[in-house]
Amino acid sequence: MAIDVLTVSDIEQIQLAAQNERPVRSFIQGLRKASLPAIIEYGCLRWSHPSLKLPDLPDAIGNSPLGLALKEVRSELGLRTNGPDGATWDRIDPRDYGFFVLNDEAHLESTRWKLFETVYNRSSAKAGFSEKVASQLSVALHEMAANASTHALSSIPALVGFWVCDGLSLFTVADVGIGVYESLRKHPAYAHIDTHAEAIRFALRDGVSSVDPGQRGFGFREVFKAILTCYGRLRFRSGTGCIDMSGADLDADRGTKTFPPHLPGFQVSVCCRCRALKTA
Amino acid sequence: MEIQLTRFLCETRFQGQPMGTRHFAKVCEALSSADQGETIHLDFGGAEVLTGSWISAMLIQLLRWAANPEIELFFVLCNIQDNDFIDELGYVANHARVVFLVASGNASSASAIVVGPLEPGQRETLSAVVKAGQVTGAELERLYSASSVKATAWNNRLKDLHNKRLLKRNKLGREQVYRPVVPEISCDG
Repeated sequence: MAIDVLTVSDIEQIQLAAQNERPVRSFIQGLRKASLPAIIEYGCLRWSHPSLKLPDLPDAIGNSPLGLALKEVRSELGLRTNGPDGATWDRIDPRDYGFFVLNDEAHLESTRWKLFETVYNRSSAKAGFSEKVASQLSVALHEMAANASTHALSSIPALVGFWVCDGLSLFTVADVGIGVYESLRKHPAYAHIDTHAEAIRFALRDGVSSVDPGQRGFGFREVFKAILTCYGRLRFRSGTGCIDMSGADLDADRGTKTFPPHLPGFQVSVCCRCRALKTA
Repeated sequence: MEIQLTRFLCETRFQGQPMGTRHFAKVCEALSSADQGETIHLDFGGAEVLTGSWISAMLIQLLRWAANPEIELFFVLCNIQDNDFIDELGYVANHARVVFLVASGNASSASAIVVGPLEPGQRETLSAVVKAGQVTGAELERLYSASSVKATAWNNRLKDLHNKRLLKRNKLGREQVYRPVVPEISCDG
């Protein structure tokens, strides 16, 4: 990975450095590109930790195709917080990037959201994924967005974004709500969970739900189904927990558990490749 | 009564818990005119997507609601062409310990499969009821006198299958007479 590309690992390092009052501005200003999950997590970090006074991302990122697509929407977690929401979603042509600001559950049944999902579906198909996998990816995106709108209890809307290019399809759903730990602990069946990472692991299991354990909680299954037939990575970050999983092993209990600095809400990134990366 | 879901709900992608919850409310409203004990055919023709979260928020809630004695409705899912849908129904049914009755074809089909878990005794009882057409616990004790199962145990199993929405029943004198929701029912796997 080039050093001038902002990644999710950088977000964690920036947060740690800034919280320890070490300078981060020159590092950020030197960035030239950003990954989709990183640009959204940076937005989450800036919104949730205003005291860190993190700077805007440099123009090189803001004016990149990813940055310009993100500027189409007005979001506290994005690059623009005022003006009209410019993402119209009135066409179903495939595109490389797309963002959607998800206000609530009702929004998931709006024509605009359905077009957004359709565009993501078609974009994945155009990028080389089979129709079935492209559809599974858009279903997975829907499930994660539905999850955010139901459980996040956030004061600001969730941000959903996708990035699709040849052989690759990636989406991120991020909210800054109560997070997985607090959400699960609302139900007495999960009172024993004592860390954010453990809460994420539990939530990834089928039938785990703060609403109705055993009877609900099947949303992540769609994510796993989507990634099963291709090469991919999953990242789930919430509070002080993070689980990274490779598409080769979808057992949440064997995912890599890390303990990043606290970030409110839940940030999910799903990255699929329809071909394996060439190894040296 | 038959509900063509894609037409009634104006949706072909049945996904997500919020959508399932909304569809549950809408279908309940439509069923307010159904008679107690009626069989409702839920037609999935034209559906493109069916996810576990929708099934749990819509179909499982519908089964629970329908088991209320004041509601007392039975459901047969029909026109499910995609085997992935059956797999998904089975997966959720196993987790939630419920069963779905899935017709082999459209609403006029006289046969259906049970998708979801049944204990061996429940399977045996269901098979006996299907064979008899309609039957009481006492009759099953007589019919299967070679087995050690007594009328009370047969009645408990019949009641369980009724609660699972696989058998209908009506009272005849002091006894409950049970019959299958569709004439032919088999258990998957």
